[in-house]
Amino acid sequence: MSVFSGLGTAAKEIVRGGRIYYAWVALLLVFISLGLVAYVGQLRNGLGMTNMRNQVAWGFYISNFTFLVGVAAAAVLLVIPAYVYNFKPIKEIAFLGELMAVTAIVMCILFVAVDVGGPANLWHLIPFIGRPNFPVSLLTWDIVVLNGYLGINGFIFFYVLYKVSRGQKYSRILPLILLSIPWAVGIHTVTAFLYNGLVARPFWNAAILAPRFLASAFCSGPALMILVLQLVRRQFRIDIDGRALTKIAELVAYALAFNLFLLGAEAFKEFYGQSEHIAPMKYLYLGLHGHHALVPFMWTALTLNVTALMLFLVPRFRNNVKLLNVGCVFILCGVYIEKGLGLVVPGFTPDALGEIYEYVPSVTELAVSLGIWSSGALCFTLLAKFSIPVFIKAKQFTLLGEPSE
Amino acid sequence: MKNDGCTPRACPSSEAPVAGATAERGAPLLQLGRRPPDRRAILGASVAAVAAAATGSGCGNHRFDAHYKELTDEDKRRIFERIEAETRARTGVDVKISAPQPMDGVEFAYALDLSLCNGNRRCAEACARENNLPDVPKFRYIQVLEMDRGTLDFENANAYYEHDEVPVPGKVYLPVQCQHCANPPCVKVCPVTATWREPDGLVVVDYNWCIGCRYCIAACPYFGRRFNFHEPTVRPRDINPDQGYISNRLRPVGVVEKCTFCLQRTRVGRYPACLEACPTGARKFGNLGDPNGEVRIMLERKRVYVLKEELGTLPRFYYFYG
Amino acid sequence: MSCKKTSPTWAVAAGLAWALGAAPGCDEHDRHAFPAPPASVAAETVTVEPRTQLLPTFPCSSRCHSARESQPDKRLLTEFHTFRNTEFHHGDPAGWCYQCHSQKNIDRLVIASGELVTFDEAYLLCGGCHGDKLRDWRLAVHGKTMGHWTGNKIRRSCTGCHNPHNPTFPHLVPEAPPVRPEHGERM
Repeated sequence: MSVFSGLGTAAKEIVRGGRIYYAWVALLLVFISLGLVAYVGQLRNGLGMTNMRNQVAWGFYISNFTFLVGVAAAAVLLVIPAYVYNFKPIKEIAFLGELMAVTAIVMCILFVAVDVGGPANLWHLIPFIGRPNFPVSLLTWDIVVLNGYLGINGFIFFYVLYKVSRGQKYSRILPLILLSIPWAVGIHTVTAFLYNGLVARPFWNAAILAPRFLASAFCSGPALMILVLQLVRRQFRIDIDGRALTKIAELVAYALAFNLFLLGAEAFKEFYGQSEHIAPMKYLYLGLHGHHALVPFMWTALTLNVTALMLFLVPRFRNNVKLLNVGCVFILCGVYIEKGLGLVVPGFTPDALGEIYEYVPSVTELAVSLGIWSSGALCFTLLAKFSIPVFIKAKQFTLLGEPSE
Repeated sequence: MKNDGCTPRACPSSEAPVAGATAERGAPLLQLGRRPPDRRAILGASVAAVAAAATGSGCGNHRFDAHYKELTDEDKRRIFERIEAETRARTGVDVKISAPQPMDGVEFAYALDLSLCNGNRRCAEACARENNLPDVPKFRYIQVLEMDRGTLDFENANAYYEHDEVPVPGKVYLPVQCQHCANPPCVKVCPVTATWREPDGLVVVDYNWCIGCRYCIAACPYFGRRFNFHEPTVRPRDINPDQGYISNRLRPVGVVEKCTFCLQRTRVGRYPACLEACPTGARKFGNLGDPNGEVRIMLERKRVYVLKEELGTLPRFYYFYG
Repeated sequence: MSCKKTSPTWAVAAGLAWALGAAPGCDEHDRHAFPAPPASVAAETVTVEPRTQLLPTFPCSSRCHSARESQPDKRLLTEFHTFRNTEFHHGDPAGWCYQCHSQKNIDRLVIASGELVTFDEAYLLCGGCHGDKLRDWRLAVHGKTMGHWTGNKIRRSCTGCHNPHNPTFPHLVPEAPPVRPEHGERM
């Protein structure tokens, strides 16, 4: 038991907390229950409870999945400066990046699971029991890399936590930490290829898709990280170096600029060329044949992203915490729209035979998605509550957990 | 998104149909999970039981069935009898499930004379009856697109036209269904090999194996596939009792289905239902391997179009002007 | 069918396709070649769907025409066939019954050579003018084929689809369209 004694005391942290903590957890549990109720309804009545149809076969669930893969991949933005460049302020908080990656991947898996028509048949994906179409189907690749990423980051997180709790060094898994960097790029590239490989959908079948995925991921993930770090700092009263935040913000600014550049390149190609493949782009930004459900969202996203870029580019603004936070919220919303519904729906609108079915998520989809986001938030909250005290405690012991520099 | 629709072919012989049909193009390069079926069945059953318990679904024990390609004759007999009994209990109709096998030297292809099609939709309705398609929700495997004469523009096409009589002057009609591509993009994306191209060229789905991810729908450039978003309900008196296991048997909710060129008919020598129903004689069906078959002769003598040829899907559904 | 198994006969048949396709690899060749001729498919027998038995007033001779003189000049029909006066829209407006129906034997049709053919062989008459269509029909590229694709085929004759007196294919009432997808928990 001595092995777990350190963690055991930490575990008690989960059930201890202030009024805000309990209220937050209770709220999340309510949302999760709502989501569960909605999901049971969907299981009983079929995916007709969603607004997905044959014309638009994927919707809000897969949109969220795509966005969250980006968030998960962005965890490396903390790992790179921490372990490659030994930037100490970020190294102290790198475990939170891994925690976020784990949480995001769990949400990704949940979003895919609720999207399938026969969840009881999911065992067909398991090697040796089912018949996974590996390596032909990109979806099987995605399953492999996502689960691998979950495994790697989960292992790193718990291993580091364990070592730190025992006051030991964890430099032995440095190779694994470094592996997580290309792996993160991998999960996002594979997810982009999932769409990219479909010749039937010209909106996705463009080589720019994977770079755009990465660029937008490196905006949204760190933006979320900046906000979460501040919450953690306030809640646990731990010292997070402000330089860490501004360093992340600086990286976000580059990624955001690149993302907008890629968007512009894509828009130029479509609007200057005016080929038939312009239809989805037109549907997004101008409306097509009187259908413009996504137009206000897309312009909102663009405005938010451009504004955020202005805020992040100017050091005076990004060093101002309030403006930094505003920028982060803008980026999150902007990328969430652009890479969520703004990516998935136009792939199907107009559909392969030119039909336009205007998709907007149904109540069921919103409720289930709220439930999954809440599960993710709960997962993060509990793990943070469980682990952060361990790190706080370890730091008091003259930072024994740090690998030798 | 539309492509050029039809791309004209100057010389029919240059697009001579494919052979090599017997090699399954969609077969996985690396097949994980080659184990004796019995052991896999046990493992699968236990995993599925957990999954079913966890998700609260999986009422029917078909969740534990092995993949169609791994079924022995005995498995098939058992499963078919079970489905027949279930159907009888549920609908009161005595159905016969069968799994006719592909014939040697046969690769199916379809041809459609656009100069004759007048948009009457008899094909779509006959297909619905033959293949047990539900009327609620009412979807069809065959979308008959109405377009302005002089265009082949999907984006301005209309599949929902209603007229007192057809053809309407100034309009042309383009029926589209599964094109049974020789290089099917839907097959390669399926994460569980629940859909594949048979040796005779039919692209089929194992409804018991499909997980309902709809990736194949995203991959199909022809709107050839349908997902059962709702429980499909066919009135008992409309049920066609002559049912193929991988074609027209009653489908459960949550799986993908599609045109199979009426596999249950065509593999025993009959013509597809859509062809028999066509009053204009626009539809041609046959064996590409038969040099005297309608489709081969059409290919050799007429100028042929395939839809979205530039995508490299190699459709086995040819359009021509007779 | 792999490259190696391709029989010489079929290699020749597919040669043109290969050449035009200019496909490099073996795999590519296969895609553009015809499959091997079928072993399991029976020899083709084509039956033309008979028409005579479907004609309600056949035989014309014994029903009515035995008691009448044939009138070779164009005029307005006054008795049984009056509806043909307005219905008739085929070819030369100056046309008259005996361009196609035999004046000697009203139960037969007369083709360009002067030979008489039955109503079951109407295609021989139609082909006199519409030779291209007859050629396509014989090849089953035009017209409706029923029966079995495996060989036992039934071909519908010209007059099975086209009214010979007004051959434009009739307009039809279309079946109802599919239902547009809609939002909502239940369609």
